[in-house]
Amino acid sequence: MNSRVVIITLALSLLFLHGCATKKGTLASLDDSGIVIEKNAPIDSARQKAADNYASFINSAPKDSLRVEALRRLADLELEKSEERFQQQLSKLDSEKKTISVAKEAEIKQSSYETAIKLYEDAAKASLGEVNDPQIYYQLSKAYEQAGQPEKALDALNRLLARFPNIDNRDEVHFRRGELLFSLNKFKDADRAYTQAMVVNPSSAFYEKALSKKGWSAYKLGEYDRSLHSFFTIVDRKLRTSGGEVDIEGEHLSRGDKELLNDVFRVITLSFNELGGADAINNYFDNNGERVYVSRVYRNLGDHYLEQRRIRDAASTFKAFVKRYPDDIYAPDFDMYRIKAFSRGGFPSLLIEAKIEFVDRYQVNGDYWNKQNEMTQAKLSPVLEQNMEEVARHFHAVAQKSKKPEDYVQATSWYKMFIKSFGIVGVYRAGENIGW
Amino acid sequence: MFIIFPKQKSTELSVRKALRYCTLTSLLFVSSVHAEIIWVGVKDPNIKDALFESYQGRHFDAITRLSMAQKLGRVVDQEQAGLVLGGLYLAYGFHDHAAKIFETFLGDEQPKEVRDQAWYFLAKTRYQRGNYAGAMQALNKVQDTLDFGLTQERNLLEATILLKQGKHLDALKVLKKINERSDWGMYAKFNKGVAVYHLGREQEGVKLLDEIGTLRSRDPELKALKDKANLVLGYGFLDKDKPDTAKAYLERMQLTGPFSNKALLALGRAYSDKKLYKKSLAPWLQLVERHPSDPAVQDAMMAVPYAFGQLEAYKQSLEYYEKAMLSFQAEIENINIAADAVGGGKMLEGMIRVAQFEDEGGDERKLRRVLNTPEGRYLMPLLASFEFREALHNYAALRLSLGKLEGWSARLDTYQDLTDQQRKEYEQRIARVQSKVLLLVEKYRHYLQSMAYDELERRKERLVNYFNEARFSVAQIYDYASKRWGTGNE
Repeated sequence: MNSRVVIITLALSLLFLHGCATKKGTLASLDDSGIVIEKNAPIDSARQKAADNYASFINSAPKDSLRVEALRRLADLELEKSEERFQQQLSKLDSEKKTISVAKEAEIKQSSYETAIKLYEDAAKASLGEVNDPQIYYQLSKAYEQAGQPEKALDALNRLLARFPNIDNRDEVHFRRGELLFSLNKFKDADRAYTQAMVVNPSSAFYEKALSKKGWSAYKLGEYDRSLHSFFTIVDRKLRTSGGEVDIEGEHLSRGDKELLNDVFRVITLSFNELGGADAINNYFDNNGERVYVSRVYRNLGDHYLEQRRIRDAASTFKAFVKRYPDDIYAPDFDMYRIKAFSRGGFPSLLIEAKIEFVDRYQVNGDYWNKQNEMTQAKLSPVLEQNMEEVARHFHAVAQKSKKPEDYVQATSWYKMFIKSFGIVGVYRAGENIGW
Repeated sequence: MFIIFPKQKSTELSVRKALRYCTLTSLLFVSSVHAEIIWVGVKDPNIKDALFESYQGRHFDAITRLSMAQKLGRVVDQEQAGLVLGGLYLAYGFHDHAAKIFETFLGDEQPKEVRDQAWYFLAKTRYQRGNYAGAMQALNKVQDTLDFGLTQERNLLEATILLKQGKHLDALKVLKKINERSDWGMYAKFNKGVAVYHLGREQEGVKLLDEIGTLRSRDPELKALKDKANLVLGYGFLDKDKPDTAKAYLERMQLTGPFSNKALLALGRAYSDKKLYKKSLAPWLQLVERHPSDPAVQDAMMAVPYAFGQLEAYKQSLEYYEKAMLSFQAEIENINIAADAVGGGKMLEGMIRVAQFEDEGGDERKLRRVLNTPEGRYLMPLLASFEFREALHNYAALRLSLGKLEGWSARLDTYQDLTDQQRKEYEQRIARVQSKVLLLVEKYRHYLQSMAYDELERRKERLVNYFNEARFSVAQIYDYASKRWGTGNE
């Protein structure tokens, strides 16, 4: 180390010491380096302690402005415990192999939530002065609902709206009112509540839910046209992609939306069923305009009938689609649904008639065939081939049985049509099937 | 709020300093805080006797002896006796009575020096009792004979009164007359800083206070003044949302000075305002170790867990809130004990001793010793109130007169030259006076007690609010914890 460096070092040390000296004994000498911060160190068994401290606070600060908040938080914690208490009691009874009657369950529910409800009511009362805490009423309503007292739950929400008529989340409050009214079978009132929820804000997260439940309310009231109007509005909103196009299968949708849409389509089906079936669908679209997803509506109704083993209704629904939209890309599918329905239902004569109609309508170089592109034709071809084969086989069998020449003529004409449509290879293939 | 006119300890000093310049040829006295009587040229033995009693701190005896001598026609120089009596009344705290005597005896025939000093000390006493208008009235009677030192002090007193009355411009004019190098120069500069600040000349005010804030002195009084200037600047800039500037001033302050608690609190706030919570903990953690009866310490007890909470150190936050609650609870208990002591009269007896100490020239340390009980500390702020002190002095004087009356009554039997009739008359007169004094004693006792109760109630309310606030925060932390870390084994 040379002397110059030593001098500089000494000078710096002196400067440092001078700095220390001026700081010494003053607030400038304070230093935070020794303070240890234990960030996010966990705290155990906190809920009961939170409740105890809120309770002590409430007792010792009867006039404090935070009292209402403390009451509400205490009630929130109590509500959590109420649910656990309720479940524990049910499990206990269950483990003791005791049968739990509806009345007994209601009794357990009521006693489980009693304390939480009282605390919320106290908070609501204490808040009447200057404290604006709508959450109290919202939670109070929830507690009443969980305690199995929907009327009181509804009353709590009505009190909330009376006190805070312009509350920001009134869409949600109206929706919950609607739900409670719906559960009480007060469908007219529920309908109105859902409408109010929608009126607040068309972009609200509750808008579509309310719209759907509004449709259900109308459905329950037997006002199917009105219910359909709600449901189709939802479908229209949901199936429209962000690009403005319509995605008929709704593949762009979230799982939740898909479920919602399935529910909506289900109730649309039920509504059309109530309105008389396929004719009602026709009427609806005549009056309210066509939809690109119309095939799904006919299909659902047809399937619904199939589930109920109402084969003829199902078949006429499928047929109604084809009749209304004969050139539609899905028309052959619907005819096939009809064929399958007859097949499943065990209606051989109707089945063969349907197949004949199919072959007739979709034959190669026929009107329908010529209107389709190659891709559709390629898709249609094997189905047509199968149906034509089955029709030919049918008439061949009839001729073999009757031995009548005219029957053979008819069978031959079908085979000729077959050869004309699919060539000799197709005939051989068909021949293999019929045991040539 | 930030106006300075030295009082308490400083006043003692100021009186000593003032007396250094005393050049009177006849007599003089006085500080109302404690009588330090200087008298020369008094020949009348009755007056000498009274002054001697007064010098021993027995003002009451001095007054009664001189009054008696006057009534018996034994006093030769009535005017001198009147003035001395006025001075004695002033020393005893009865400034209105003193003023009346001065009005009568301080005529043109008296030397101007005597008049000026008498009015000046009356003005000072009135100022200390919070009677600003009366103080100004007395001050206006002071002419131009005060020596340099007293003139400086007089100007400072006038400026201080003007500042208290919100007359900042007038105050400034008077302050400009004070020589910066005089004993009062620094105080004047401080008040000048405050005055110009109030007049909207903020930069000028800051500059003046900053000059005091950078003083280099070993004098504890000036060091305290330096701290006060920095504290004023620190709080001023904190209120203006300039925590960095505030910090620079606060860091100049002594760690153990008389304003250090407030300074530590403010420095923590300067960091906290900038969300530098760990740094804010350095001063606050020091402060929470100090005496918990100080409101600044109580503030810090709430500030520390708040800072830990902001740093997401919830467990530490919880610990400090719980510690604070224990401390607040203990302090509330001390206040309850103090209230009992006030109710039982014990506290008032202690305070009378304080008043007597003051009359006898007792200093701050003695005063603190008298009140050095956990509960007594809560009554200290009362003694800073002129109203309370005035009442306390009057109460103490009345209590003393009761004792004297009792003594006189007992001594009546020993006076051989009294006839039975005379003795009976005197007894009746003493009894009448005793009844009147007893009524007054009761009145003052009640008044002092209610003031003490009000003060205790105010302090208690503050602690109760803090306790509840801490309780609520503890609940909130546990509430948060139960959501974050689950309910455990509940």
